[in-house]
Amino acid sequence: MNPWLLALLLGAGILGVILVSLSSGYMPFTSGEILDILRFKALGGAGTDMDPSRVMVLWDVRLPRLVTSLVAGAALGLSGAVFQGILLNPLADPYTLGVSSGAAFGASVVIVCSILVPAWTFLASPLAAAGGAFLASAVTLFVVMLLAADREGRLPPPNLILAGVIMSAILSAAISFIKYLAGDQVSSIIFWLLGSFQARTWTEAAIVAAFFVPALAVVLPSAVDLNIMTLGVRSAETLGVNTGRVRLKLLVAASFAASASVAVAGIIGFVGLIVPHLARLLTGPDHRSLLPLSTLGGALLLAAADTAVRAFLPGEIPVGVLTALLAGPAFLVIFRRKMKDLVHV
Amino acid sequence: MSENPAASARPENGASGPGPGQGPARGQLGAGPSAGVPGAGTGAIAGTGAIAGTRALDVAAGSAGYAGASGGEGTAGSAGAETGTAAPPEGKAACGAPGGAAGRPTSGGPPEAPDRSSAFRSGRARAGGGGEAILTVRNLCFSHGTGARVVSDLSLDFRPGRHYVMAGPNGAGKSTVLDLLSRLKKPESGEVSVFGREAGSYPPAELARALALAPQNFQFNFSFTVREIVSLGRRPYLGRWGRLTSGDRGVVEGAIEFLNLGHLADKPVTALSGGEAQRVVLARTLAQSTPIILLDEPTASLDVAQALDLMDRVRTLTREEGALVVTVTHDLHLAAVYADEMVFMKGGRLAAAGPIAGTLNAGLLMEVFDAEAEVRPDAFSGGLNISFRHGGCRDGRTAGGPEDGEAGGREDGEAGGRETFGDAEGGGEGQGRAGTGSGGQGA
Repeated sequence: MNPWLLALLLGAGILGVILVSLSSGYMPFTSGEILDILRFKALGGAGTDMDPSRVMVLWDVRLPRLVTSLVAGAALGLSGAVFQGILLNPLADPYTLGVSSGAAFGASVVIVCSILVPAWTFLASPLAAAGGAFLASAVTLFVVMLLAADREGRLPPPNLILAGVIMSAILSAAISFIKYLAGDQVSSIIFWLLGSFQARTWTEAAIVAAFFVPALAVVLPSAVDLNIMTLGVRSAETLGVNTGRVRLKLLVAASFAASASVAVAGIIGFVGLIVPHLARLLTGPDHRSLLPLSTLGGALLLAAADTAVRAFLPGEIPVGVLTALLAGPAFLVIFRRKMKDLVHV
Repeated sequence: MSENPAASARPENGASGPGPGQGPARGQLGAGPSAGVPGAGTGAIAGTGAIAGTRALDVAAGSAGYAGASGGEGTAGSAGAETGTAAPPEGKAACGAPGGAAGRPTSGGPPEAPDRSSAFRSGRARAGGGGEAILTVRNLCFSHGTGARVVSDLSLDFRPGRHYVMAGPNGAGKSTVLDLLSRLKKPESGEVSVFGREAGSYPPAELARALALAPQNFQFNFSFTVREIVSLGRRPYLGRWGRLTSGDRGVVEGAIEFLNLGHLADKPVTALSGGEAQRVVLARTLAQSTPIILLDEPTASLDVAQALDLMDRVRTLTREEGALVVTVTHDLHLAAVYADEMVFMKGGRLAAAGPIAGTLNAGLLMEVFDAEAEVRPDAFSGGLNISFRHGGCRDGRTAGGPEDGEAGGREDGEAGGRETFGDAEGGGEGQGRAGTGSGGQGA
């Protein structure tokens, strides 16, 4: 499929999801009303005939949640595509490196501290949880790279994956311990860990965007280098690519994008895995198109899933559960196919 | 990473004085070197490309006296002789010592970047075996992090238009030498010079326009098409977004045709056989349009016909395009037919170097491979018939088996090396090794 055509389809899909998401739910809106409210909030002007509560629901509840899910999905899709390219492994994603577990651990620590020490009110803000997530995922990435580096300071993909798995296991145990510490209030951590965009505000939207945009700016210009690095270190280096530097740069950028998403939404599995994989199936492995398409695809998938759990599915199941239930089987199919390929080759 | 402005190379060329016209080489595209190969010269844009042939020869001319400066002895004056691989035996820096004693070429600028619009072979001299060394190694030493020395005091000259085949037992340091030549590894001491300029002083993209490596353990992890993979070879000439010009596409198509990959061009590389994949790697390497090409076990996964075919291509590259090709292989029969010069390594040291006639004989094979060998001329292939059997030398010298080759073989290697250098100085083909050979067998 032509990458431009797919980009066009994804763009149209995102617009559709935005429209459906804003208009559907407990309080339905017509598209005309949505446009009026958006124009009023963005440009000011005549909004006298509007019901303030309806304006508030759309602008302060529904829209920030939608924007947060779009950007978080974009961040997951982008970081998944980068990790798969760097680790030369179509099955890699932000979790493989322990980045997501690190972020979850950091946020859990902040949450449990806010429970144990209610006097420190600043810990209860989303910014504190996000800060804890960034910090812990950065430390995790650093430790993983320390573990994975060979004698010449390079980061061989198998080492990275093994080190990531080890760190993930340790961090999972640590998160279990934190849950234990939380006692009766463990549900707040558990719900957060399941992944959800419920009650996300413009603060969360701003946090995830503030880390996603720089990551995107760093990653996109490295698409050609990423293509070349799929040939292996020796080929890439003799083609003039400084693989060590490019890999470090991309790992840091992709990890920040992923941890931003974890910080505001908890753990949402498989988006970073499935989206780049589908994009590669449809348009080929060229990262010049794969990276932007994975970004768009991640945004579309996560926003659509969140709209579904919020407006169309009974109750409000965490979106992380939905993506895992949908994408898990897809993951199995892909894994099976890959194994066959490996046997075949 | 942007292209290196050719301007950065010019001042040095200018300073070297005699180099006749790096710039004036323009406009000669389409002449000579590209004849006879499909796709050659397609996409060349008249008036822009400096033909490599001219350039490399210019460099050689500009660096006359380089050999003389590079150690005082040995290769000086060997320009016309057939023994270009030898290196100065005396006055060498021991491993660990800074390579200050090693001759540092004073003239002969770096290669001007082959014009991106030129055909894929345009980066090379039309040589036919002539010309000064464009790739030189002086007193090269390298150790792994564990302290084990892998390459010891290696000195070699490589000249354009020739095919050098490097052989030796596993662990002899052959692949490490390729890594050192292509700057994948930094030498512990000693120096690698590409076109007379220290390899480490090149910006990565500029070195990638001078020297290409086809690695042994290549991997295709994603289903890029053959054409996409070969196009990646143009990376050193492209900007950030990797957009190919029509000239680049011509080079890519030329490389694809040259290796008979036309019918596979749109196939995903993950669906290819081992032999086809090997050819894709080689096409990718050729698309780099470099005057120097390093091949690490290129025939390892090929069947007989494919290996012969590949070697024929290499011969075309060296004989008609003037490329310098260095091949690491275990296949001595193939080497005997296709190599212009042999480089034998053992235990990280040079065991012998020179034309086949002077190196590839029973005595040397015994010394290098610890196996009894019989070497007979083979009229059928035009090469040599080499048969091995184990045994022979199981006494003192190699009693510990191959493992002690490093320790025990080191002195042998040194002695062997010296003798070879002696041959080289004498300019004699074919006589010299006999001495060592009989000595080896006698032991």
